[in-house]
Amino acid sequence: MKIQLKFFGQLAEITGKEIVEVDGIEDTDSLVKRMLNEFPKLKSCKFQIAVDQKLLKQNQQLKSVSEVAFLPPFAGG
Amino acid sequence: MKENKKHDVFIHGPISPVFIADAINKHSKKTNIGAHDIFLGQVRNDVIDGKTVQTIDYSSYEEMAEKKFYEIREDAFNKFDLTCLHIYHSLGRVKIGEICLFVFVSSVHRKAAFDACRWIVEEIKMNVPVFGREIFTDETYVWKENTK
Repeated sequence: MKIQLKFFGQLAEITGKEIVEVDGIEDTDSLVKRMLNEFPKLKSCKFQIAVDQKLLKQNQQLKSVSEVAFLPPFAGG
Repeated sequence: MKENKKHDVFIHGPISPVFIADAINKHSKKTNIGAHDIFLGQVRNDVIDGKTVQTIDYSSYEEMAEKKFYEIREDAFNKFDLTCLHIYHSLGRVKIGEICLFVFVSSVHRKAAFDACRWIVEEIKMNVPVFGREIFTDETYVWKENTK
């Protein structure tokens, strides 16, 4: 199943795009591994993951998930 | 009566003092209110590696941020005895000295307003996906990160 990945702020600058589509990834751990492999500069960045707009606490299966976001540190307010 | 109406939180550009004054004025007919507390976040001229911040350019994961703002509203009404609550945050460029966050809390007595206002601001800073580029006078920039 296809999943849309969204990158924000400094992370989007590293990937060069805000939206990336991936297919056939089982869980968030493998997704992060794949992204760090594809964009090694992400290794030096702090980020959090949100799955369908909810912050991820632990590894999660990506079955029936439509959107995963890579979020740099928050700076609101 | 508690008022938990949803409105757009994000405002493009700075939040003007006139907008804030108007928001206060709108409450003059809600005569059960005895206390307002207001927090205003202002863009500061931080100096980083010898360069002075001139502007912050805010962006957001808007779909998630809107959900988060809604959760914060719901939780604030559950936790504190509030009469009404408004939150506005800037997106896009806000210059030093301009307002980027406006939290406006009203209650019957002061304690709920004081406590809720502080809690809401901390929640926004820590849990809402808003990102900021601190832009210097020479247009170079660094990405901002909130501290606890």
